[in-house]
Amino acid sequence: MVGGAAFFYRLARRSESDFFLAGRSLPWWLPAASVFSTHTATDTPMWITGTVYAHGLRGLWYTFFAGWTSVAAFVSARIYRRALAMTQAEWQVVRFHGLGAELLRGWIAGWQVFMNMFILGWVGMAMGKVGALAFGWPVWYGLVIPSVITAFYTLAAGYWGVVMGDFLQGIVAIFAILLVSWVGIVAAGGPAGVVDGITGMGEAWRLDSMAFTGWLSGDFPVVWWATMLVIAIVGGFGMGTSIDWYVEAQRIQSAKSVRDAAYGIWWGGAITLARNGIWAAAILAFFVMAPGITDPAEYELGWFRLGFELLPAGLIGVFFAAILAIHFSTISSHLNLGALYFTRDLYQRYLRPDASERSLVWMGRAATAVLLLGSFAYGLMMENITQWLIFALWLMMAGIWLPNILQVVWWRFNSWGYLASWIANLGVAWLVVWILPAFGVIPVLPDYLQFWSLMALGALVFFPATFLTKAEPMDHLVHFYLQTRPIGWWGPVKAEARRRGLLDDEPTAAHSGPRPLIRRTWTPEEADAWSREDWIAIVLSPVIMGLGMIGAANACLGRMSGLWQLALATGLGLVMFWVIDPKLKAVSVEYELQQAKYLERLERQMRWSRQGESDNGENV
Amino acid sequence: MDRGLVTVIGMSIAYVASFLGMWMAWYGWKRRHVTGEAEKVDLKKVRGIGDGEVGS
Repeated sequence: MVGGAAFFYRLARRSESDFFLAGRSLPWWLPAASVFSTHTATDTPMWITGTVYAHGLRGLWYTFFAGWTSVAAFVSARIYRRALAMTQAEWQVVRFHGLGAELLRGWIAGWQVFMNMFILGWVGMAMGKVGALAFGWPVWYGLVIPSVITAFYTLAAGYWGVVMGDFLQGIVAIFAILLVSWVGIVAAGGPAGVVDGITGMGEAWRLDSMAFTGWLSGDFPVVWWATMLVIAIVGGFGMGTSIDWYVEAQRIQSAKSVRDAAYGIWWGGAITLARNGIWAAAILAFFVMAPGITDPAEYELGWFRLGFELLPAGLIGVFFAAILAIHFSTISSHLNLGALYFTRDLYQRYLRPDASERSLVWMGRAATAVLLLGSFAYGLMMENITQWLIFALWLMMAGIWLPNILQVVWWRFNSWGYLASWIANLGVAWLVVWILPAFGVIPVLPDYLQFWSLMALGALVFFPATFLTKAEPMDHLVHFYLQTRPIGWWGPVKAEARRRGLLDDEPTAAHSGPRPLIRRTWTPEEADAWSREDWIAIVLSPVIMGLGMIGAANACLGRMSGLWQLALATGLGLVMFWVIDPKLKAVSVEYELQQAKYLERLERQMRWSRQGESDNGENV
Repeated sequence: MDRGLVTVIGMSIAYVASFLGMWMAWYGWKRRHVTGEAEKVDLKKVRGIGDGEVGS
């Protein structure tokens, strides 16, 4: 990593875009590796172990929130990549206009800077706990030392260092996950031994990924499972799962084309979910060897115990190196990302719009260092917080789940409605999650009811706020529409673009004669429109990821059903790529011809250039 | 401590950061629109616009 830092230092220092997006030049497999590596943190095995130990294979559905990538790859990633915004905060001024958009940009930048520090703190604490388990170190060793090492190459090489490190660390992590999981399963008597052991305990339900406790009752009702699927899959149409989405926003923008962005997100999500399945099988093996643990803090360390207690001495060093790799990849991503939000969205936009490229890169480095120090303080404050709390926090953002989607799919949704949803969510969350239950007005709600209540109460605020304020200026919306071609309800904007002669009524066709059932030859104009090929990918993609996740678990347990599920996922995947790939290629080629023009306009806006402001629509 | 209470407190701290960010946005907006202090940034000088791909 040190050698890599020296090598990529020269690239990273060229510009802000190089330091934070690797110059928007990456082939899809590098962002994919980065998605996987960033989502494989030191605390991730604890989280997966906790859910699977408590719920059996059905617990995998808690981890399916990564399934948002299945739809986002073909919808929101495509739209967002075309918007060219460096961050989700910058997206606000591309999508919305005026003061409302600026307030939202500052709002989201502040939120994300904090969230990155928060995540760095809790992931650092997880590393501290692993160091304590393995070597009896004081917790702060694990919190501080690996993060400082990571900061060295992140400061020097920026996102180039992050993404190249992620690729190497991802390979090491996959090797360690396969090795430790295999060793754990063998120690429990092999795949058949795990299945027989669990069945012999009278706990066969743990082997069933659809073992519901009823429609509405118990700790895993059908309605909760369906709610989690809706959150993940429908969220992919917009930026629904915002706590995950903003990390991937950087990967999407660093890809060299729209197609590379789509595939980077898709493969990153797919590998992450398959990994969860492999982990689940190993955790069931741990359950066979150590049943009946009731303290979550104890059973959450189950997968680490498999590694440290079962591997031979020589391999324990390799295992710890892999844990460090897992840790480095997450820390480096969040250090660079938090610095990006501070540098691009707060410092450059509001304090120093005339800053030179060199000073922006140095500000990025300074912000990285400050985030690191903040994360140490935060980490030490939340020693006993488990990822269940993060899950609860994620759930409590239900009030902005729908607005996160509406901002992509509905032309009339405006900045004031979106800002209202954020602010309302705080009050509504306090009311529903704590105040009303604490005073006995309502019972503590189950997770699914909490989600739908927060969403509905938030809607009572943001829909009126949207309709009581003006729509965004039509000039701005037309420009946004032409640049990003969003899916959903954009009829009036599309009609206005046609009226201005900016959009053809009938795009040039690649074929004469009737339309084939599956079109594989596209003109750029045809490819820009949403069609049945997109919908085939949108429907097949979550099915493939779900089958891949459950199939990986069942296959590792030696069950034929797992092999069938994986075979079906592979077959459907081939069909999906056969259908969607020609279209994504056509979209990418056409869009890249326009990209330089869009980037220049965005940069003028970013610098508050007067020309940029006059460009804000009148001449679209 | 109660899990719900801890979560809403954690969320509220994040909201403080958001309000700070929004205040900075208001400050930047006011400098350039309310007080009429429009920036005249020479983009060719700071980024080399016209010499290649901007922002990349």
